[in-house]
Amino acid sequence: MHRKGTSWLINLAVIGAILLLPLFLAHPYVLHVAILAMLNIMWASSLRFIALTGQFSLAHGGMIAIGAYTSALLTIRAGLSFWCALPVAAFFCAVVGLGIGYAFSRLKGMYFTMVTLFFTEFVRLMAEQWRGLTGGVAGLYNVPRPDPISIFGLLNLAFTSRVHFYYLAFALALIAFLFFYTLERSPLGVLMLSTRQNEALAESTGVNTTWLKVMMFSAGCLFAGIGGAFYGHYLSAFYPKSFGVLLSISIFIYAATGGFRNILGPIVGATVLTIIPETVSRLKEYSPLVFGGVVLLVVFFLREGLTALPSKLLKGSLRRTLCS
Amino acid sequence: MLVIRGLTKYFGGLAAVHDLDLDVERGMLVGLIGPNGAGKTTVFNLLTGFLRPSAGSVVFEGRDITGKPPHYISRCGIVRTFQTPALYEEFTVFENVTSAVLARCRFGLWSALCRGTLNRLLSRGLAEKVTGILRLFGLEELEHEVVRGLTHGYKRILGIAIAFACEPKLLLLDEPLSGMNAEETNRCSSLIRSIWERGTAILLIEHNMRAAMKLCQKIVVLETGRKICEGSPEEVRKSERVIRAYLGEGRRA
Repeated sequence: MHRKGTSWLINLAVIGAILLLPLFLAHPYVLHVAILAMLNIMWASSLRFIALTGQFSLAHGGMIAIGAYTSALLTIRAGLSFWCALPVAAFFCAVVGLGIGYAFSRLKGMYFTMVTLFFTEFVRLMAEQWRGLTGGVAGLYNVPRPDPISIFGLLNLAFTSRVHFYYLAFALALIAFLFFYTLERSPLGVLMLSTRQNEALAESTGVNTTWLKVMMFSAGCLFAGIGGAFYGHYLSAFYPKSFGVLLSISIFIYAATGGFRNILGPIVGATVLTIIPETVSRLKEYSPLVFGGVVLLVVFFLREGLTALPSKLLKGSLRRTLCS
Repeated sequence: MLVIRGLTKYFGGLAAVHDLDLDVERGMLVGLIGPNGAGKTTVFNLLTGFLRPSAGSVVFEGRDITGKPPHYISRCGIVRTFQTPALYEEFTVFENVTSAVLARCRFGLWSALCRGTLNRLLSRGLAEKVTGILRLFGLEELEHEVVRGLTHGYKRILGIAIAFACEPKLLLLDEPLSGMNAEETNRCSSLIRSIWERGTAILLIEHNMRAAMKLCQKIVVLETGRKICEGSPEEVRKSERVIRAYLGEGRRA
């Protein structure tokens, strides 16, 4: 009981700090980095969620692109409101995820990862070639801002400043986190972990592992799509190169750096790896070096990711690893 | 209860199982024996859907389950164990059995989101059920041990416990006694017997002849994928063909 009480306090403190951040640091650049961090958290969390069933997907870049293009095109061409286009785009991503998840479900391990990588590349090439729809290599621009909304008449979000986007990004990331958190702690979460550890056994105890993996893949793609749709309207201009394989791999690195074991892993990884290169951006061309340096340190000394750091420090095993 | 007719499986040109007929009646304890490579495990894989038969049919309780996926067959009531114990190595003993019990419930995405956490289910009787199973198998003291650290004997028993947790009507045990010492063999045999006495039909593959003869009511002998003998342990013991299959042809042959 005691622990539960304190962890609630910590949660409240974190949420409060995030909500109050714009009051102290309203600099547009700071907010921009914070919004990117939120998006990366959402994407890395959904990637980790898919990985819970033992599938390492690189389809996220493609899914984000589909989400961004669908939502943007729906608002530009069909004149839909952002609030309508976002769910439609997300739903569309989930359906595509269902389709390719099922098609790829026979492939395991590295082969699954490879075809998901091809999918991302396929989506990028489609976006470049289908000029009539996507605007080709130049991409889409003048993607409209979300329409102003007011929440219970208390909070008026007109999306004229970054702060409003910041709050929306936070809300979306929070929804994603709660979704994954609930599912992972539900009985379904146990079955997912079981499937990852021993698919044959799970199948023989009566788990439809194919269905489970496809559904979880689709759920992961849903949130990739939500993030993608938001991303498009936030940037207001994007082109196919914004989404390629590199984005897929970056998201994978965020999750891996934080650690796949812990639900906080992708959050820590995405935050650290989004913020650190930006804080040293004064060094300009050296900032990728810092990014790579952090990743290398984690790969060499903290295989289980940054979230394993506290327990490693407690056990003192980090010192042993460093000295050996 | 289980009716197998003409079950055949080719691997390339090789018949691993050839035209096998086999019946298991309700409440029976049937042994499947034979020399190495006779196709016993292949029969299990065919029965449980891990392999698709090249020909023949498997009917369980009037339902044709030939070539159905493993989870479907498992839900019909045929649950197997694996030769090298298949376990969730990162889970504790308790979690292993919990997972098997949960696998039997139907969860949609929606109910998983709304019906509450695992903890809530555990406090509503799931924990007692799991503990009950662990107690039956003498694993209750190990319940918080991570599986990776268990001894081979306990891993085998846990494998059976997982299959038992699925509440099978027919339990398929793939060499449940292999790699066990004398004491473990005795304990595991009596476990198998007590599962059988609860009304579960059992089909078991066994290398330990003495134990198999003692346990089973009916024994089926396979050699190179064909059934060469079927009958009570007594009959099988006396059968010429079985002796030849195990000891080889006489010098004069």
